[in-house]
Amino acid sequence: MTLSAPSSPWTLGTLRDDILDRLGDTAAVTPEASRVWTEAEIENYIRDGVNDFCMTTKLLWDMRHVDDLPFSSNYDAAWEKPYFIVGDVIHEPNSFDAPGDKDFQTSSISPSNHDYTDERDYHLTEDLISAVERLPDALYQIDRVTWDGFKAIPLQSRRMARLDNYFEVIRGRVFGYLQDRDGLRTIRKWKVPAARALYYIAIGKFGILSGSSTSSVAKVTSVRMHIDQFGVVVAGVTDIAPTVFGMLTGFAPPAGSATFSAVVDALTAIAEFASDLIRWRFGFLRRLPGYFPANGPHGLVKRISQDGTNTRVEFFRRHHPLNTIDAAFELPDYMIMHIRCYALWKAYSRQGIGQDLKFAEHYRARYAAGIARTVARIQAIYKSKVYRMGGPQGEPIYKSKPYARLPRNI
Amino acid sequence: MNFAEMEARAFEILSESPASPAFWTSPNIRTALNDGFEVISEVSEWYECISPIPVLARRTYYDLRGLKNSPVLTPVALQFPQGPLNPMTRWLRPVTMRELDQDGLNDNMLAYPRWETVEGLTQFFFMRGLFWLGITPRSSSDTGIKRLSHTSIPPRLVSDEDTPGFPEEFHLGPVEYAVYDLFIRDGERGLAMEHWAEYQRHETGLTQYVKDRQARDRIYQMGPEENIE
Repeated sequence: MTLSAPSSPWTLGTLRDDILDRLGDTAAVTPEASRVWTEAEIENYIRDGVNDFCMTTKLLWDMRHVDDLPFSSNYDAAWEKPYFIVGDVIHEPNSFDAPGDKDFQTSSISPSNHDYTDERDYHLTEDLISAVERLPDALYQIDRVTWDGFKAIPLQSRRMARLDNYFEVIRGRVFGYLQDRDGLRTIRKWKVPAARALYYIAIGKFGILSGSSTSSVAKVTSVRMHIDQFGVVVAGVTDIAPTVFGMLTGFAPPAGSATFSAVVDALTAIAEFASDLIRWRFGFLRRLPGYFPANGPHGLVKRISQDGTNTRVEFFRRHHPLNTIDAAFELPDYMIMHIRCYALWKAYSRQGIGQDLKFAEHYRARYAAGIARTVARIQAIYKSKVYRMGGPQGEPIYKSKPYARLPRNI
Repeated sequence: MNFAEMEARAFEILSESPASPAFWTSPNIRTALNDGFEVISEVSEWYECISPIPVLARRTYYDLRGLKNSPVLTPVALQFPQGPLNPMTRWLRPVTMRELDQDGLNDNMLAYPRWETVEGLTQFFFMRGLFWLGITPRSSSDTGIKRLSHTSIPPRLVSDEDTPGFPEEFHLGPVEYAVYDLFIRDGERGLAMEHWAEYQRHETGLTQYVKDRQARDRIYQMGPEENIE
């Protein structure tokens, strides 16, 4: 894909200053003590506008796996999270061990019996896969769920309760999912996955993914993703075909990981990628054939889950947080206008000095028009679809039988 | 009108002296003109272009952000050329997720619930959100270029000779928008709304012009199109 470096002039700070300039309320014009709108207030309007715009239009689409794995947990309460040290992996909160305990707790969503992925990968004697998983906080709406490539059907718990008294514990293939009883931003898989999915094990705590190796352990065959390795060319392999991944053969395991693996560090050693070529000999892992690219066109691969017999959620999500004034937008530059209109609408609507309801209405209308155009664009390609009345749905569009017609000269 | 002439018209409407401006400088006006140019282009979608998308092995979803002619406003059509005069060159057909998942789209390749895993000659495309373009069947190798026909935002006007690509009848649109924008910044709300109304007249006119540029004969017919393949 042809990529271009992000060069947008718009950040939270620049948009805030632009809006204050339009309001005639910048520090250059008005003494700080006499300002009508504070910088923090405008920043809040911008954040509200971005969230409202993304939620209304559902323009940001993403996918993520809720891995069919035993439920790992390593803290008990939310207040503990700030005490993790840099590089630690934060799993889920833990407050009960067995399904029957769930009725007496409030924080965790599934039972867990181990703290770390290391225990999960090497020491569990029985695989009990979690049925209920937490969904990302940024999730607005689930668009589609798949398991092993099949679409999972959205279900309702009251219907499931009629069908099967034990639908919460019966194990098997995942045919559907429920969202209506275990709390917001949770998903319950039905049936409970019977076996763990294949997965990658991250080795190392810092950095980005740069390569991988196959590994066979007693319990599960997995693929290990190495973090913090450099894609260097080593002697004897410089004449191989250009390759996709910044990782070549013959590279030693990273320091400290010798106990995990001493096998060949090449993605092409994995059957899944055996026929793929590596594009560049240096740099980072940018993409894996068959996998959803991470973080848009400019990001790097940070985490990879395998599709296989695994649950994948496709969803519409919130814009990433705008926490600092240097934070850039995920939206294209031309959409910043809509956010500006939202902020000006709210600024002019606020009761007190500076209120101007006529102008507020003007900007509200412009914002609403921007939303309508964006929603229309998402659906635009389907305008060229050819629909028909009464045709059988299962028949191919391009193989339909010609309908009887009168001769042209009649 | 070129960029310099548009700037002169804005100065004129603002009763401002280009030589010794009192309120608005040339950079102020040029920035506002470009804002107006962007807004009228976004609404009317007059700027049409084609962006190449390299085919990637086993890739179903392609991010439309970062294409050659970004941003993509509205994807219009997608072609997968197979070489000069190759009969397998085809325009891909839009398909909805519901149709794909229903296992009922056709009786060949896509009559398969695991359609995402199918590899072959790409035939259908669909959108996920505003930025992700999906195709199916996906390609098995990094071979070929897809051509995405879409509308976009034109490059900003920079030099004096730069001229908007739409007809001259609507060149006053960005000028009126610039005046509206500058009056707003100056607190002249009544004047600003007058020029906003005038800008909207040009915006509506250009949008209609883009839609109505081709007179079409109407042929009514019950049932599907003729079998064209």
